[in-house]
Amino acid sequence: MFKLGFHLWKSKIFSNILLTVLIALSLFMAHFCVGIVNDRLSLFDTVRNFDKERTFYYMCNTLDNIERAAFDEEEKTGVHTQIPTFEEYMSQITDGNLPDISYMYSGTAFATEDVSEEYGGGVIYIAIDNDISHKLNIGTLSDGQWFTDAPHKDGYVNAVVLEGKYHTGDTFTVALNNGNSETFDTMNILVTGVLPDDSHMLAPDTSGTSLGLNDIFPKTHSSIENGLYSVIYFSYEDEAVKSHKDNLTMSYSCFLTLDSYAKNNQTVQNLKKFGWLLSFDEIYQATYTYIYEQISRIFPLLLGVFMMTVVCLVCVMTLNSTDYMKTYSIYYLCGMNLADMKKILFSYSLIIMLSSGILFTLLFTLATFNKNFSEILIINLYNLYVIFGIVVLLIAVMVFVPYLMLAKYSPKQALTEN
Amino acid sequence: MIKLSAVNKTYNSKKPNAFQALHNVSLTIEDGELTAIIGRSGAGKSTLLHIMGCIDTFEEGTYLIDNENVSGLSDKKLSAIRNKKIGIVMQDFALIETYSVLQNVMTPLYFSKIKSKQAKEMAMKAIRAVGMEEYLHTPIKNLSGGQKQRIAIARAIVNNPSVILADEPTGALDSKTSTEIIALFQTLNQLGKTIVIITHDLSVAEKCNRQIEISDGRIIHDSNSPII
Ligand SMILES: Nc1ncnc2c1ncn2[C@@H]1O[C@H](COP(=O)(O)OP(=O)(O)OP(=O)(O)O)[C@@H](O)[C@H]1O
Ligand SMILES: [Mg+2]
Repeated sequence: MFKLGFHLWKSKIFSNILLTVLIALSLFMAHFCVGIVNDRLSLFDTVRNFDKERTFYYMCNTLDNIERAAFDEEEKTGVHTQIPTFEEYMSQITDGNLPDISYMYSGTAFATEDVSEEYGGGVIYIAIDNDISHKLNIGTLSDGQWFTDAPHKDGYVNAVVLEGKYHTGDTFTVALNNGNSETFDTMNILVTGVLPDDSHMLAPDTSGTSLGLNDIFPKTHSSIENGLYSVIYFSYEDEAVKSHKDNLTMSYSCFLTLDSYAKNNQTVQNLKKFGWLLSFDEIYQATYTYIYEQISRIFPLLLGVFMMTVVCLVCVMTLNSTDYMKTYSIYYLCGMNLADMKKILFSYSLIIMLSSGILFTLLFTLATFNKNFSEILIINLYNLYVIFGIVVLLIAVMVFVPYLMLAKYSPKQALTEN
Repeated sequence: MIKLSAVNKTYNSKKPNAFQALHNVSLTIEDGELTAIIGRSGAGKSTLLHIMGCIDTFEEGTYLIDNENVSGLSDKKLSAIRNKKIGIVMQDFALIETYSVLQNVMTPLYFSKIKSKQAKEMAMKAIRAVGMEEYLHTPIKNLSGGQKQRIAIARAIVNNPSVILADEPTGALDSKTSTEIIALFQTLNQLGKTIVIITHDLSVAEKCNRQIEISDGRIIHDSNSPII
């Protein structure tokens, strides 16, 4: 019977190939959409783990705890003996003082123009996502200027001060030169925090828009999930610094539970200076808004693709079935029974699903070569569920459309009615 | 042996457009007979043939094939009868236009689960019997009406059925071709097949051993039993 199913498939090969492409594309799109939705939904896992009993959470733009700086023991006892405890660090912030952040920037910072000349070459590293991925020459600020008196330690600058011009959430542009190239790229820099002495904490602005709570959200979530994550660090090209590359990464945004700190107004004021002070509900709401916004953008696409596939499938199957009806009636005349017919139908669907599956795998493999796709395309349980569901549904449609048609109009009728 | 007793067939029964196409049809056809069924258009000839070929059902009466009552048979058994016992040549040929001659003739053999090598041999034999061996791989749509009719006959005989039912096998053919087709049926009959040919062409009917005439769903004349 498989042979007859194959004959059936072959006799309308173009419409069947169209069907195959359609199914493969919809599987791909579904997989893609589920990947995105799933990616966003995972943010909720973080929030779900928050302690609802706590009154306030503080989302700040600095290191969440000292251990995470991951300095070697050796390093801690050497250069970095001044590392404050988390409590000390927080009390510095809540007092409204400049916290000692030198340990964060140890050996790394934005260089001032002067210093860059002094040390020749002026190479900085910008590390993003735990990877030192960019080696860049310092260019010029399009706006403002490098702080000339930035405090430095062992020849390295601790922070950059932008004349008090910027507030948390502001962006500005830096021209950066990539290696030996003569051309300068521009890079948007976010001011992720302004410290009381007017030094600014900076991060590359990936969103391209001004910083809002929702922009920092996914990063913050990720940083909690992955440990140290969204990292920026700048340094001169220096053997000593290079050898510490991995240790020097740091997080600039995190959640802190702060019920003990959020008691008096002055503390709250000070906290707000460096970040966002939020209640659990606010965090939950912000997460919800963020995810909802993201998913509501994807969901219609997913639904649209799915509906389109089903509608197209029903149309093509109906058209095919009408054409195939004559063949079925002839088969009936030649001695086909109902069980045979089911087998033929099933073989036909199987050929289509198999070829769609192969095409889908091909598309999938091709797409994973593209870096932008590859992260979203990771197969996990959700994707498998959804793809499995879709395949089952499509098979159901493919088998039931002909069945419905046969119920209304049998091969026998096709044979005996003129 | 084919035996119908008091068969009534109503199309669209229980609907306002119900139409009784056969009234109390009783008919016995012995093995090896060459029978013609004649009658005007709309008389119920095709209806009768469909019932005899087990591709249509009826409400009242009994139908025996080799003493087996067809009415109560399952779909599986009925399809086996269509597959092995009866070869049917339909008025419109009922061939798959895009498939080749060989594929069409082999169709019944798929359903009797015959191995493809043997099936091919059987199909070749049937195609040779109708003189179409030159066209094995030609798609049906490229054949003339007479050629299509031959292929339809080849398919009807491929599985060696004892009974062949043909609905207007000469209806669309010129007189020379139709003589050839009838000669083919005569040869098959001499080989022992029971053949029933539906026709409204009297010259075709004359070449058969027995003539049955129906009108308005009733048998009005049977050359075997002239007085009805
Ligand atoms: N599927 C059907 N539904 C309703 N009525 C039908 C159907 N098939 C046939 N009839 C009616 O039954 C009667 C007999 O039809 P049938 O096809 O048996 O005639 P026929 O003798 O074969 O005619 P022809 O020589 O034109 O082929 C006709 O009046 C026809 O209108
Ligand atoms: Mg007819």
